[in-house]
Amino acid sequence: MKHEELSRALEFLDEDLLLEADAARTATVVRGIHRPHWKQFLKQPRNWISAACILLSVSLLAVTLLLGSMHGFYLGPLEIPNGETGEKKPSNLWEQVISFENMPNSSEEFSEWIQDENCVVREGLVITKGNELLREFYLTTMKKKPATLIGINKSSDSTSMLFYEIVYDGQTYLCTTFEDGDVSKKKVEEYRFLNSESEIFGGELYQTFVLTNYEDIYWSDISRDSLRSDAVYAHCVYLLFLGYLKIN
Amino acid sequence: MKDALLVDLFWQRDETAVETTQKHYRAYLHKVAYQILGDELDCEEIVNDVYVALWNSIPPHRPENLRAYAAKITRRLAIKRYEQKTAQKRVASEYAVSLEELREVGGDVAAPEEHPEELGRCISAFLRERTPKERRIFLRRYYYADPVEQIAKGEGVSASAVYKTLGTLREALRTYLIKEGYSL
Repeated sequence: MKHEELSRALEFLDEDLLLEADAARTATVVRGIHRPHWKQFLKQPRNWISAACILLSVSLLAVTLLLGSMHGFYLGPLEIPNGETGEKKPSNLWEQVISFENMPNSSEEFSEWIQDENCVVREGLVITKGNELLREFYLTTMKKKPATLIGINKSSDSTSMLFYEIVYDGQTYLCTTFEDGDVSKKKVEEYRFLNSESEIFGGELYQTFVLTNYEDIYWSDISRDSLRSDAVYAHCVYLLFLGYLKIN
Repeated sequence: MKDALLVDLFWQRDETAVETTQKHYRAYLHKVAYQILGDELDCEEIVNDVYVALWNSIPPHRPENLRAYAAKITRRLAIKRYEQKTAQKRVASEYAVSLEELREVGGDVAAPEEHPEELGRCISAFLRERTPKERRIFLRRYYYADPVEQIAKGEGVSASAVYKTLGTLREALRTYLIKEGYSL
């Protein structure tokens, strides 16, 4: 028997069999024309991947937009340098965000540092790092208005720590250098005792990196923002991936 | 319009029957023909021939399912045209590919003693022993000459799964036909 004869013989198949196949065929054609039913969509494993990607993509976009609206958008480099070595200089993230007037009378270290043309950036970092409330304060208030740094005070052990105050909008805020949280707390208490006239923001102690650890802080902030960048880039990658799935 | 009413129009020799058939089934019949011939112009001619064939065959026939009946005529005419064309040159169509696949079941040697009606009934019996899904895959591939990817999409499986099923079905059909006394 030739295979052509076999094919021709199919014409004489029972009609109900043909109708059964035709019904399935028509359903496919209809699905091809109209938007697939979600049940049909989820039947295929590849669509599960697409659905997961869409969900992830939307989530990433939402998180990105949320963080972006709260903290400002940053689309800088993805590279996160080594925070400990601080080999690479960061870009001027906060330069446009905050500025200080009336440079303080300070210790030699601080004076030297403050004369650096990038001090404004560093001051920005002082505020953004540390206690969540203080950071929140920076993000919600200081970001919008220039702050005034009016004074600086040394602690009893100025070789390792430096205290200074920032008065902003009529209120004094305390910032300090430190390497260790417990030590810092102790030093802040000491400072508070020695400078009882100072108000401490919110009546609590705040730990803020400055000077000696500024590069660490800087990189930490870079990392934080880079995470947002990661979200943006990842979102783009997922969109491309979805496009690829759609094409194929 | 329901098929029964449409068939009635043919029986009443009402010329709107052809227009209505064209309106309802032109795209469908065109697709059936295209899978076999792979040529738009040929398909247009075949579909037009189908309308004539319907007009000439109803009456005396009274098909219960006009759509399937018209598809059957379309397939027959398209295969006839396909054979005419392949006598001159190779035709690139999905049917040509599916026919090649059937070579595994049939072969190259003609055996004129078999009657196609009888063979059709035998294949029907074979298909009834298979699962509905296997039947659909087999008929969509070898009756309608649908592309494997389209069948896979319709069944919600991968193309490779469809290929595998088709291979198994061909082998099983060959065994079945030999068992039924066919010379392959």
